[in-house]
Amino acid sequence: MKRRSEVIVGVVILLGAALTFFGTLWLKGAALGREEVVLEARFREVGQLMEGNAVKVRGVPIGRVSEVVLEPGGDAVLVRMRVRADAPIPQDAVVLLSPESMFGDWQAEIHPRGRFPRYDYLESLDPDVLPGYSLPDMSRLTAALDRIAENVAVVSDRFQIAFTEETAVNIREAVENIQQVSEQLTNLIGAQERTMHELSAHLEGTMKALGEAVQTVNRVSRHVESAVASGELTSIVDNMERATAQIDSLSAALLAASRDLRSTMARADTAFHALGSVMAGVEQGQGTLGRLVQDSTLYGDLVRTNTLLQSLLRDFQENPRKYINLRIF
Amino acid sequence: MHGWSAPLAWVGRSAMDLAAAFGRFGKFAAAATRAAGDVATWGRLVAVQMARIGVDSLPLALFIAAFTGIVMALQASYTFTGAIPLYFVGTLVGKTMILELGPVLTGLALAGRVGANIAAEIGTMKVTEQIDALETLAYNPMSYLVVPRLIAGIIMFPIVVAFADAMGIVAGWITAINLLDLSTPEFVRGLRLFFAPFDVRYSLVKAASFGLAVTAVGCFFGFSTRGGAEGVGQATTRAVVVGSMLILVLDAFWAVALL
Amino acid sequence: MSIRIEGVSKSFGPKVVLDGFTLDVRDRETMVVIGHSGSGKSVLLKLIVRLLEPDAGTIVVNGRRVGELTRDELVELRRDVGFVFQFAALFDSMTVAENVAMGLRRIREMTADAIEERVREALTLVGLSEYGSRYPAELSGGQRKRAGLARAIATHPKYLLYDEPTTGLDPVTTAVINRLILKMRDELGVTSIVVTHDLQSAYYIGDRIAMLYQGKVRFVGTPAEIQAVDDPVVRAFIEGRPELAEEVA
Repeated sequence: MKRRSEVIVGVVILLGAALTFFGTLWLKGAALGREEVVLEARFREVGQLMEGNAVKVRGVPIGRVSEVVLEPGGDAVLVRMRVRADAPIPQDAVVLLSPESMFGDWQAEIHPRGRFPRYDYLESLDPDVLPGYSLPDMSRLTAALDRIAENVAVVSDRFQIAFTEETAVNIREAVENIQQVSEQLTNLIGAQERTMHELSAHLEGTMKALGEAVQTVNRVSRHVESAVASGELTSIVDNMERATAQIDSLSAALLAASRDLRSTMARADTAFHALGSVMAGVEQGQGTLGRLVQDSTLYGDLVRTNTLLQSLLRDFQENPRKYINLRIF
Repeated sequence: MHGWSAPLAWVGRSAMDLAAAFGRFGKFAAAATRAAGDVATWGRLVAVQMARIGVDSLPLALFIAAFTGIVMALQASYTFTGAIPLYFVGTLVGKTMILELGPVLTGLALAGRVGANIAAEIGTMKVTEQIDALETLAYNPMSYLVVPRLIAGIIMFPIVVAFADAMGIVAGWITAINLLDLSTPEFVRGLRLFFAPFDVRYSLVKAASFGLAVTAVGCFFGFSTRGGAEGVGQATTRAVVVGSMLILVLDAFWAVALL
Repeated sequence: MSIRIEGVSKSFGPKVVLDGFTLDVRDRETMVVIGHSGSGKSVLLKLIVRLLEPDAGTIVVNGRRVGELTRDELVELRRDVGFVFQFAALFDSMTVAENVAMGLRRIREMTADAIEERVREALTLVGLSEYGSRYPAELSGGQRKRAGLARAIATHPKYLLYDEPTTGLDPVTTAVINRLILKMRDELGVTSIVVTHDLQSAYYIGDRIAMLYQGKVRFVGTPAEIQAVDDPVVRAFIEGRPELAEEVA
């Protein structure tokens, strides 16, 4: 009787201890009875990466982040990852950190450097430590868009004072490019709709606005040639300014999409005020066709803007989900 | 006495009673600590108490944990409408089960089951002079009755809670894949999302402290029993009430101290 | 091997139970303490093995002051004392044999076989040799008392303290118990204190009888002396005539 109760107690205690031990390992995502190796990578900063986040190759999980430590001196962050020993690690591998979902959990992806050569990886003197780069999140994307919008605004300012038939054609091409880009952006955002729900609807709205704005610009540029001749410059500039202002307010909306609608409205308001004053200046005859023709920097600016927008788009295309990091938690 | 002074007297008497109770509990704790050295006496009795306090409590703890897991999965899915993906059901079930509901609900249930059992048993022994008999047979009742129960409580509560945690999660998981449109990989993903091994340690440390509290309170009120059957009833009630309160206080204490 | 109780007082709250109680129990003597219910006879026994602490006075067992013993010395003293409780105080969770073995298990030198032998011997002595594997709940009141006695004598104590050993028993069982008490004195040379208000038993087993009255010893003497005493308080008690004591008050 007593012996039996001792045996039962022993069995229960051992079962409980085993349950605790293996349960913890399982929840940690540790590989039971599978060989693992530790990889190290070096970063300038690691966003919201933490212990336990997934490590992936081509989107397939191969392990977990086991440790995140600041390097002595604090110039870099060292991330250790336990991955399956048989996982295929590419030659000249780099590690990219990005949000895994929109809820604050991050991941570490191992890529060959050639896939994303433009990123500014943090190299290490130790050849065993992989170079790493942490992708920006939503707030940084909207900041970039804001900068673009400012550039576009500057371009349209210049448009008043620098204008030739040749630039008109070039501008038209550039604007078409911008339109393509913005359509692609719209499509991409549309693809995010499932996970982003109402928030993405908001973003999509702003992206549509961007498309319309660019179409307006495009419409304007189609008439540029005849405009130069027929003296409809005022109305062209008028249209152009409106389009630019739309882009400006659009970027502001993007920036504030996850924050506050009211501040977006305020920004739009400011943009329209600026537009109004420019229009007033045009109507009063400030800026002549001659001065426009003399200025050749306009086209350069516009091309730079387009390049910037396109590189951003590529980023966005390559890592579509990772730009969207709305901190709900 | 004068009518107006009665409430004052009541406050004073209550305060003094409380202070005296703390004093007696302190003495009791000191005696139990001294008795812990008497391994020869309590050593062979621990297994029996472990069986009664731990193993016999498993069905109750598992029953509670299973239903808690089911309800949590359903309520989580009800709460997470629209914006939040359903795999967070796994996160919520896992986190709350391990951190809070596993240890606390088990602790409260066992405060009733184990605390009452101990208080009633020792209280009955007290009023029927069995404790005096132990002393005259040269046993230290502290080593013979109290220490085995305290040790069994400290060891077995975490074991029971470990099973309860696991049971709650499994019940939540089964609910999620059967009643909600959730797959096993999704549930497991949510479960692992914010899991830290510290959670498990926290759960078990809490459980061990609950085990000590429930058994110590049961023994203390059992030993304090006076009178006959009525005294035993009072001791049992007090053991359950004070034990449950202590569990909640300790729960808050660990949250402040460890989180 | 004597027990000296000197000027012992004990109160529970406002209720004074013993008030300067003094009594000498000689070696191998059976001292019977009689008195009204609730007069503190049981308290007296508990004071001797320090289950209770006296408010004042000293108790000396075998030349040693009980109040000054360390925990270990007290354990040693208790090994020499067998205590027979009024309601037997058997451990419900154990069989009769296990109950009897409890005290023996505390003696390090005893092997399992020796313990079993002693248990059999003690149970035979009280006439319960067939009942070793029963639980206390399965025994009658008289059987329980005898089991309690077996537990007290199993360790071969030098002192035996009996708390109402025959109260509530039928005459036959009472006689059996009384003979056991005498047998313990004659065969084992035990010094005993028996607390009772059963006068027939007191006259039969007592070498001397002490009457406890209002916290003090009212009278000490042999059974013959107590039956001849003039004190109305003692007479009232032994003759069952309370009106005699009222005249004194």
